[in-house]
Amino acid sequence: MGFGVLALRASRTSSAINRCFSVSRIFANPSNRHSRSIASTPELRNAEAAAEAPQTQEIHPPRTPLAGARVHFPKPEDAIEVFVDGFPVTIPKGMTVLQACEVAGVDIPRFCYHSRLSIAGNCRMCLVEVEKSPKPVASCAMPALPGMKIKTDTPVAKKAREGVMEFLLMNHPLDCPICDQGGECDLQDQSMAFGSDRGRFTDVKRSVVDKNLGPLVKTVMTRCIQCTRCVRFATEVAGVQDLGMLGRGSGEEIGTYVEKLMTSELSGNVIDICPVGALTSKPFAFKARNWELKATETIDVTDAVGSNIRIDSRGLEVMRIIPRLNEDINEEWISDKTRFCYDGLKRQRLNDPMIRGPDGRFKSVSWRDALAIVAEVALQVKPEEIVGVAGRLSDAESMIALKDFLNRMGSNNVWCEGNGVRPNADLRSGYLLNSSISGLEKADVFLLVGTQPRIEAPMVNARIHKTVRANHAKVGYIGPPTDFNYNCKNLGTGPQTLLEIAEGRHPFCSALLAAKNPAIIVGAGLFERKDKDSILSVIDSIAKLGNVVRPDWNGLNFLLLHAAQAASLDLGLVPESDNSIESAKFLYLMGADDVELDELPSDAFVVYQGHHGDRSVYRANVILPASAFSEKEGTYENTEGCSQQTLPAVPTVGDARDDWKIIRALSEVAGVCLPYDNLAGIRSRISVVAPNLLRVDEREPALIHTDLKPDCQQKMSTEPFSSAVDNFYMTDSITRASKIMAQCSASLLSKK
Amino acid sequence: MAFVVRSARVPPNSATFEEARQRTLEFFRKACRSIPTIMQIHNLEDVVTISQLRSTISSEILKRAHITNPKDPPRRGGDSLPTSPDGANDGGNFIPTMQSGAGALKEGKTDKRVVLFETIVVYTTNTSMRTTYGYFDMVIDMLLFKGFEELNNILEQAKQRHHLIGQYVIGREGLVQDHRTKDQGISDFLKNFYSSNYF
Repeated sequence: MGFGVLALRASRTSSAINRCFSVSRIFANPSNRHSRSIASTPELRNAEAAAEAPQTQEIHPPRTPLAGARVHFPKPEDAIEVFVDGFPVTIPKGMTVLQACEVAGVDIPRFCYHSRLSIAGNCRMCLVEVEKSPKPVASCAMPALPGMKIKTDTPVAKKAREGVMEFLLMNHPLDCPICDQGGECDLQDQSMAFGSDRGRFTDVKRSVVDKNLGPLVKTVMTRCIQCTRCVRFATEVAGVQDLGMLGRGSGEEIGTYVEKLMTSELSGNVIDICPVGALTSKPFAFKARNWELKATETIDVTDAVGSNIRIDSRGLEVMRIIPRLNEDINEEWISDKTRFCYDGLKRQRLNDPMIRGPDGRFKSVSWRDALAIVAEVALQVKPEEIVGVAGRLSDAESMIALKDFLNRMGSNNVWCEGNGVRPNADLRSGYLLNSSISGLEKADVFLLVGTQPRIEAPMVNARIHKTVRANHAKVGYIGPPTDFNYNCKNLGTGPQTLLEIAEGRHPFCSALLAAKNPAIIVGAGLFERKDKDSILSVIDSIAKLGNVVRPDWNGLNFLLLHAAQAASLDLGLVPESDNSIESAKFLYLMGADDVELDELPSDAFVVYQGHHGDRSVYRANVILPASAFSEKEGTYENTEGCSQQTLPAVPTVGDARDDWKIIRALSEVAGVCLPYDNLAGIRSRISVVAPNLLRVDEREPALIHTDLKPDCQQKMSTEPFSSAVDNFYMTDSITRASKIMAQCSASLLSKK
Repeated sequence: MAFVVRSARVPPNSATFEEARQRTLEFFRKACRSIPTIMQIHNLEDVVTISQLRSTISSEILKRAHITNPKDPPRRGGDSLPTSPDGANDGGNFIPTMQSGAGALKEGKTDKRVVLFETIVVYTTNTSMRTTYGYFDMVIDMLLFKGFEELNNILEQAKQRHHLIGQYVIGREGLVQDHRTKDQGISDFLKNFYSSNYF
């Protein structure tokens, strides 16, 4: 210890004595000088004595369970009864004391306990008193026993919490005013509710070196209270062993063992589960306070999962995106792409209708002029030369409007990107995740065909990871070499391996045959292959062999890639001819940025309607600015067939309009007016084509299964499967415009 | 240049309508003569021509041409006198004229001045101490005063290039100009669509 610190201590001691002296002079109570009690409430100063004193037993009225806590009895004979604050509750055997309290409607303060993670029991904040137990017990780690009398509101429990809070605050910096967690901090809230109003700590606070976890998570490690939630999240949910606990005692630190970035596609969730401000969002750092933000509950469109999110906005700006609880889809996690793509909503935006002049430059024009020109050109070309493509992020309303408009113009060459040639839109079981995302937890063998769910749909991958951890489910994978975050066997790279499995020659067949609930997950990347039909028929025969599709279990799943795909197939966006792009004279791209435009004739007129100046804008003749998913109300269907709606969080940029409104206006200018002019009208049109899209937040399972399909005589090529998504962080126009996503691809993908 | 114009103040009052007219013409000449300087100091050669600016000035003046044809003076007699300043002279188009004045005149300010001005007029007419026409000539004087003020601001570069472009080169319609009236026969949806996304 340096001299400076000693001197500091000496001076502090003397000043403390001086202060005590003056206090004692005022109160004339010198005997209390050194045994000053910490308890803020006088009756807690002698908690044990108070507990021994005879108390009148008060019976609380029944309270509602906390946060929708549900009791599910797998076996009725396992029900036990415990008493929480004198009120009896019936819970299944094996629940912890804390869970029993939640069922009884009593909130127990906690830091390290998280219902989706394993139990650590190291913060000691959840101490409660249990009758006949000599000490307060940590309720999160203690199983409830029959007849247990739990007391959560006694002086002993209160004093225990106060003591724990004092210890936790001992080494916690007093930087709430500059901490991003301020206002939504568990430590702040619980110290106000359960903490003492004074502390006895006079020593120097410890400090910890901050860790670099990459471009997404900001660390201020001095604030850490070592609850280890992030470590457990990384190991148990994200499936990466990057984070860990180093050191012992006061030297204990959270960190990566070596200097290393956190390379997980779910790393942003540690920001949410951190109860203090140790792990906060780097892009959101010092941007806003949580109480200034307006929350809009909407859904995510960056992948086909449709994670439930909350967009927090301030004024015209989206400030951050955080997850919403939905047990069936994303539980309470979201991927990094979902969470951090929001800065792409502010960059590269199209805000005025524009026409490309003879010099090749775009010129801003009015909506009147833009629509007049588009309508004029559309009426000049032959009907079969009109082609429309819906983009990855299109909502159902705009897709039905596009299809109706093109049909009225006499063309039926309309499709959605990513569905490939001749998509199967007749049998919903042929493009949905039939066993549902939460249903994947029942599976015990997975066969992933041409899909890497870790980058195609991280929330589905998290389910598979959860199942693998819980049931030790076996996972086989056919596709290009890649790394999974669970134990996974690479069976092969292409259709050859599929054939071997279908013919029963492959060792994986035994696992498939022995499985109770086998699940096959087929990636939507295969839809783009020429020999798609023959591959799908081989997969059908594997499904038959492994008895994958049964009345009680449908394990043949298709994992889509984009938010618009499922709804587009439900609405029947299927092109009439296979090579319509080559003969197109008028191409209407509704947010479609990934269409191959090389074969488009050079004299074709291209209209790009969308919100970002992305790839297709370079070829466009007219740009019609549209609104992004955060600015409109739209229906999306996710990969398991659950339709959900977005809600506008912020107004549109510049002179942009909603997608369906643009097409409705264009149809009128072109003289083929569509018969709806509000959302209710367009939805009643959808109800004729695909009524399931209007049953919001409900999953509509596919009813008819694959046995109806005609036999396929196509020749299968031996070309190995390719990966459907090259860069997880940049898959659509919003994420490609995002600076944060660019940083992620630069720093995280190269390390992988 | 600027101080030359600054010295040329408008005298407080025009005695007759003819005098006010002379002053207006004088203002127009002065403004036209300073156009080359304005073009130079504000670097406007590539966005506008001298003749365009001249016609802008003349249209700003002609926009107020009807003020030369004054309506009835405020009536004498107690019962028909307006009680509130806003309602004063409601038979004529006096206040709307002022409000719809050139972009050079800030609407709020003008309104307040006129209101104040009229209150005085109401008081004076009530006590029959005032001749008829001086009242209207004073409005022309006030507009001239504001015109000189505007010209002065431009020459002193108190107004800057983007102010000039916004007010006199592009005008109120903005960059995208829609002068066609093809809105007949289109649906309400399309009318609303052209104006905003939210309807």
